[in-house]
Amino acid sequence: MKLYCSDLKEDLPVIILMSHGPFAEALLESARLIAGEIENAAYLCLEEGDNPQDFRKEIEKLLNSFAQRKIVMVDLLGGTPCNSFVSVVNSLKSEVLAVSGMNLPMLLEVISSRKSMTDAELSDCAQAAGKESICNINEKFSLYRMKQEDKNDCVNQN
Amino acid sequence: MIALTRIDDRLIHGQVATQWVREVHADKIYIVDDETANDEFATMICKGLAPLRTEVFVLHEDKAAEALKEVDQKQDVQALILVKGPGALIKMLNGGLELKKVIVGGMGKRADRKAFYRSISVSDEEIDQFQSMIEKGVDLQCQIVPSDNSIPVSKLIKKQ
Repeated sequence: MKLYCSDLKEDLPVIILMSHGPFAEALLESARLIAGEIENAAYLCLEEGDNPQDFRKEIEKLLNSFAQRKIVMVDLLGGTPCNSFVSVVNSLKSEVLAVSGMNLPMLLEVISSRKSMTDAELSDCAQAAGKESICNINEKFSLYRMKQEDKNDCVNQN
Repeated sequence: MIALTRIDDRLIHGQVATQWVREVHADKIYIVDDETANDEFATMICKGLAPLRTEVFVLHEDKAAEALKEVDQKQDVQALILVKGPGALIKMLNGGLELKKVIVGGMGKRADRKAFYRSISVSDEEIDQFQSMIEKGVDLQCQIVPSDNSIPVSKLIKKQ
């Protein structure tokens, strides 16, 4: 398990990233390259051989350690970090917003909007940012069109 | 009105698209760069890279002052101007455009450039151009992302 917590300010919601392996750590590192130093952020990375029971306890301890509003972001719906969060929800001191499928646009949106939005607004906004940036770049820039005969080949092979 | 003028040789990229656009609530981005304006493909890419809820325009350096004077008068427009270096801004100032503040955010390493501040490098010619902008009354500041403190370019020149 790898745990990190940045410097904390009282009046800023805390973002907690959780992932299989180093994704959460790297995502925060990548966001820092774009947005600069990020305060009130933490991550918990599940590593090979970690006991899910220990991971659950760590999440509970971590989330209960912040008096601020909290936003949890997990990598995969139905994965251990996600399921562990769900299983500790009842033992948390306050309600915690949690979203799955975290990616860089989603995190950047949450970093910028967390102070000014309610949990409901932030939830919508995070999901929209995560989805809106996904597109086919070839189509977006009309880089090239697939030739008709190539399309036929694909169909024939199937 | 002109909400922000930034020197960044990467033009539209992550810091600009996600941080600066939001910081100044920009809805229009004006790229002033002859190289891009003369290249249909590069222009198309820049327009396609427009962050959500923004529109991108690419202008020739000589024609930019006139166009941007009009933009500056429009109260319902929040414009972000992007240039690759100070040269384009000097042309715009000479064309009569008023620029109160300019942010130096990205000037990458090049054979003729020396390290200036953090990831920003400048050539001797560009230092002279900075100097002449400051003399024309432009508040010139180095600031990579909005969460950084800005540093006056005049202070950094003195240190050189």
